[in-house]
Order: sequence, then C-alpha cells, then structure tokens
Amino acid sequence: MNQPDTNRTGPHVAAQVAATWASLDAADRANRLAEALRTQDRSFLDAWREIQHVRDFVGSPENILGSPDTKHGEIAEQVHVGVRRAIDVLYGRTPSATFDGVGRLDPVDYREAGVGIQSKYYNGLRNTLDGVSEHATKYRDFTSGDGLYHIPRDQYQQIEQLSQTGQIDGLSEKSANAIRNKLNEIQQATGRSPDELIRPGEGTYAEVQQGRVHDTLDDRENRLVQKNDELKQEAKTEHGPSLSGFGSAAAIGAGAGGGVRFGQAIWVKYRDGKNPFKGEFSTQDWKDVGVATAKGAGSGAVAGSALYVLTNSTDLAAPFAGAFVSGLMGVGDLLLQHHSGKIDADQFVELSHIIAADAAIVGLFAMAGQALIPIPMLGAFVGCLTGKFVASAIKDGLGAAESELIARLAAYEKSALEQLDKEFRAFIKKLDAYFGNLEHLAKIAFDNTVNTALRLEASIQFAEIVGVPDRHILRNTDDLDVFMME
Amino acid sequence: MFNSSVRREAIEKLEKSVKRHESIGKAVEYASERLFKQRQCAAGEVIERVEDYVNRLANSPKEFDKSVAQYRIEVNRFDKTVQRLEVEAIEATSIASATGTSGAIAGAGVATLGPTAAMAVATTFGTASTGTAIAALSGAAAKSAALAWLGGGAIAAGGGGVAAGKVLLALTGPVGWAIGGLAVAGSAAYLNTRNKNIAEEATQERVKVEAEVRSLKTANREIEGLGQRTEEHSKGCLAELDWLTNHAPKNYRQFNLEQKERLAALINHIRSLSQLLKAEVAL
Repeated sequence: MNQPDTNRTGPHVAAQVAATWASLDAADRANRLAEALRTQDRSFLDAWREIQHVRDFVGSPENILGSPDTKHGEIAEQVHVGVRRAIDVLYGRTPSATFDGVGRLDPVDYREAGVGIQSKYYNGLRNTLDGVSEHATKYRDFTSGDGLYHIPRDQYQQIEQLSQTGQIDGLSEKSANAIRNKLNEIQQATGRSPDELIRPGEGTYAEVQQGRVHDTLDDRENRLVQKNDELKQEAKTEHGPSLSGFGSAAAIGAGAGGGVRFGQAIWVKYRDGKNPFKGEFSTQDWKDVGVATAKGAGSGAVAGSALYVLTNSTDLAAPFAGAFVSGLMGVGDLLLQHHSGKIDADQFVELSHIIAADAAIVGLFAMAGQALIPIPMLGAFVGCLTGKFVASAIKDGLGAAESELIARLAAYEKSALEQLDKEFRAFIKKLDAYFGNLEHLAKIAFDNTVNTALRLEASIQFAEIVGVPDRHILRNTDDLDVFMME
Repeated sequence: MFNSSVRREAIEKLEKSVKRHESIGKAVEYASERLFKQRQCAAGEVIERVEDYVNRLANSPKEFDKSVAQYRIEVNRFDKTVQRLEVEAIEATSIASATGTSGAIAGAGVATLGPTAAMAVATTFGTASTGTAIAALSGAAAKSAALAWLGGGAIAAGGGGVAAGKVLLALTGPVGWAIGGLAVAGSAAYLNTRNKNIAEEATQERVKVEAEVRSLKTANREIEGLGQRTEEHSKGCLAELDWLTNHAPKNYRQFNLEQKERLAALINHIRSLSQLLKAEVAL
C-alpha cells in the first residue's frame, strides 16, 4: 500500500457534499421552474379568455352597432382591445386596454395605457383619413388632449410607405398626393403630427370584417400559443444549470475536500503529539497541512464540478452520483500510479475494489444521514463522515479476518510439516542404522588384520541383512565344499 | 485487504518449496546416475570376474544370481541404443507436448533428464513403464524397453506408463506445473473468497510438495548409502579376488582353512553385491 488509507476517503466526502449541494440546487431550480410554468399556463388561460370575450361579442351580431356594412368598426375595437389585453395577460402584466368608463357614443372608443382612443376603420386610407379629419374637427378637446386614432394596420403601413418613399403601392401619384394633403390638413387642424396622432390598430381592414374576424381571432390565438411556448422555454433556460451554479459546485467541492483533508492533516499531526492550539506546530507542519488542504480542495473542486454536470444531465441520485465521481477519480488516480509503476496490477485491482467500496459506503451513509438529519448538507456531511468511519471499520474487520486466516493457515502448515519432519527423521534414522550396520560389518569383513573366521561371520551377517536367500549363504567351509564340489 | 497478501505469501512459500523440490530432485538425479555407474562397474568388473574365478576354480559353472547377468545384458543393450535414443527421445517429447496428456509430462521429464539419466532413474527406482522391475526385464527388444522407460511407450500405449511416469513426475514436475495454474488463476481472481481459497490450496499444495521434498531427501540418502556400500563392497571383493588369485592355489582341493574361509566370504560378498545391485529405492 503506497498510500495511507486516509488519503482516499477525502474525495469521497467532498464528492458527497458536492453531490448533495448539486442535487439540492437542481431540486430548488426544478421547483422554481415548475412554479414558473404553472404561472405561465394560468396566464395563457387568462389570455385565451380575453380572446374568447371577443369571440362572444362577434358571435352576437345583434349587439353590434351600425348597419351590417359598418359593424366592422365596432369589431375592430373589440379585436384590438381583446388582443392587447390577451398579450398583456400572457406576459403577466396588467391589461392596458379597456372599454371600462367609456360610453358607447363617447368620442373615445376605448382606452389604452390610460389614453383615449378613437378607432377609424373605413374602406380605403383616403376614407379613413376623412373620418379622422371629420372627428378631429368635431371633437377638438380629443385632439388637444392626448387622444389617439387607431386605423387599420394595412392602411397605417401605407402612410409609413408614403413618408419613407413618397408614394404608395397600387395608388396613382395623384391619389398619393391627395393623401399627403389630407395628412397635412389633419396636422394643421390638430396641431399634432400625424405620426404621433395616428397609430395602427390590431387588425387590418379586411381582418375585422364579419366574415373574416373568426379567422383573425384564430390567427391571434395561434400567436398566443406560440408566444406561450417561447415564454415557457425561456423559463426553462432561466432555471436550468448555469455557469455560476457550476462554479458554486466546484467551490463547495473544494471547500469540503479541503476541509476534510485539513482536518485529517491536523489530526495526524495531533496523533503524532503536536497540538496546534498549544503552538506546537512548526512552519513545516503548517506547510504540510496546507499542501494536504490544497490537494483536497483541488480534487474536491474537480469532483464538485463533475457532479454538477452529472446531477444536471442524469437522473442519478446524489449519493450515487457522488460515489460514481469519487470512485472514478480514485480509480483514475490508481491507473496513473499503475502506469508509472508505483503499484502492480494486483494492487491496482485490490485498491480499486477498496475505493469502490469506500465510495459506495460513504454514498449510502450520505443518503442515510440526509434522511435522518433533515438539514440540507449537514445531514449528508455527517452521514459521509460516519460512512468514512464505517468504511475503515470494515477494512479493519477485513484485516482481522485476514489475520485470522493467516493464523489458521500457519497453524495447519506448522502441524503438517512437523508431522512430515517427524516421519522424515524416523526414516532417516532407520536408514542410517541400516547402512551404519552394513558399514560396520563390511569394515570387519574386508579387514586383513581380523582373523578369517570372524571375517566369514561378518560376510554372513551382511548377506542376511541385504536379503540374500538363506540357501545361498555359505556359513562354513563345509558349505563351501558342497558348493564347489557338486 | 481481501486476503490478497495471504494469497501472495502462500504462493511465494509454495514457490520456494517447489524450488527446493527442484534442487533436491536434481540431486537425486545425479545420485542416481552415480549409483548407476557404480552398479554397472559392480555388475561387469566385479561380479563377472569373481564368478569367472569361482567357476574356473570349481571346474564347473556355479549357480549365481541370473538377474545380475540379465541386468548386464539390458545395460549393454541400452548402451548401444543410447545414441539412437537421444534422437528419438526428442521426437517422443514433441509427440508428448502435442498430446498434452500425463504421458506428455513424462515425456517432458525425459527431455530434461536425458536418456542416460532416465535409465539411471529407472534402474534406481526399479520400475519401467510396464511396472516391471528393470532387473526382471528380459527378452524385450532393447529399443522398445528403453523407450518404455523413457515414457515414449507410455504415450504410444495411451498413458499406460504411469509407474515410470510417477518417478519421472516426482523429479520433474507436476508441482511446478500446478503452481503455474495457480498463478494464472491468481492474477485474474481477486475477491476475498477467491484469494482465501487460493491461499488455502497453495498451503495444502505446499505441504504436499514438502512431503515430496522429504521423500526425495530420504531417497537421496538411500541412494547414497547404496552407492557407498556398492562401491566399498566392489573394492573389497576385488581386493579379495586379487589376494586369492595371488596367494591361493589354482586347485580348490589344495585350499587351506584360511583360504577357504576367505573364498566362502567372497562368494557371500558377491551375492550381497547382487542384492545391492537389485535393491530398489522406494519413493
């Protein structure tokens, strides 16, 4: 083991804390987004109701003023006010257009942003301007105040074209000149610039005709739907993961990782008999603590930022995301150590298992801590630290089981080898006795200084010991005579 | 952690035991060769000369141990074919490694031992691939018998050469091979239980190897003892033969008591030597 155990649990704790924060942050943003979407849907419904009011109105022609040929004038007013209100409501604003406080025969048809509006929808720009001119002459108070005229959108565009190009598509120069004169006339009569006095209504002349208005309302309704979708999308972007969130996650990971390593470094020094509170730390000691803290903060920052991305792009629960990231970082680190030859393949596999187990245990305890201590972050943090202790306790347990196995195997080996040695010694003793005996007899048998009777006796004993059949052993000279003479 | 250090330690110890086994196996091999030469010398120079002397003295052929004569014949035939066998042993080995059976291991063992050493081992431990004592082998064509000793016959017969294989295996290798398997399995297996099992297996295997080591040591001591006795007896017999040739009459009837007692002792010694020649070392 080239690395002390304590170094490996730091990233797990940092990752768990960062994971918890990232998931809390994601949950918070998800809540706010859900609220925003609910509000938007309510606004859309309200906006749709405004359009519905217009439909109700145009659906009852008997309520509309004027002859069938001139009913479009009031339809134009309804369409303008209804659509304006709908748009305001969709954006969550107070409706700016209203018929409230306006009599049907007043010089004012409706009010928008508090300004009285007279709507003039005639067939053709010339006729419309005639209507404006006539009204302006009749109601001086209207134009001397802040009153405005709304005319068909298409006719207003013709005025714009005239002021920009000096002519109007589809009209002769003469007709264009007549319109220019009319505008001048209105300016002289009211003392206000036509640009300011005359504004476009919501619909074109054609759009507000009785036969067309339902299509017009359908069109405006579709635009509302589209706009609503855009607003919802904006809400999603607004409440989605952000660069600042990413930065926060990294910072929190760094804080947790650095904090854990700081605490560990202090603890290790303390265990070695140096108390920082009693001023027993040297510059080198503080330097060691600082380096450890920086390393922890660095890996914590990496874990934190990785977790922010992971939490926001997958459905992984925070503890598992944390375990995943810190496990991966740990194994990555081991891989480097393996490549640089600091650990062999065996150790790599083993340490990887330990890291994965550590990550998983710390992750599980983070989850449990979160559940037991319902204070965000604190629960996860306390759970992590507990998990860290449990992980090292399990490691101690595994170590104890290993020691037990070592002892058991050693005992087995010892007794087996002792038995073997016992048998071996007994056998060697027998062999030595056997050959020793033979050697002793051979010495006598081949010794010329010993008398021949004794030497024959030794040869007999030797033959008996090595297993010569009795009938082949010559025990005396008579036996020899028989053997030689027969 | 995960019992891997236990596993590593158990395998290291097993490897050391296997190394010990290998070196003691080599020692046994050399001792066998030395004994083989001592026996060749005893069978040829000593026993044959004494038998000739006794037969001449008695003027009639006397009954001596026939197996010694057969031993000589087998050894002579073996000597003649060694040259050819060295070539064929290589072939046998390549067949062996191709078949990959237990016979293959025997074949591989032969390759490392070489024909002379294999013959030495076969005569020392007394069994050929048929399970018959070498000394009792007769009539079999020298080549096929020798090949049988080498384990080549065993391969041809489909693994029948267990007995010879057993001796050769003991010297060359199943333990070493087993450890190869353990090591390969070890690099792939890492879990707690797996490591524990490997550690236990390796420890048990080591005890077996250590048992083999002691068995080989015993065999070595026995071979050395047999060698020393054979050599001393050979020398003693030749000295006695010289003395009788130089100091005793050419006619047995003219022998005095001392000469008769020395001749009786010499004949006993020759028979003892035959016994030493035939003695098989148990493994």
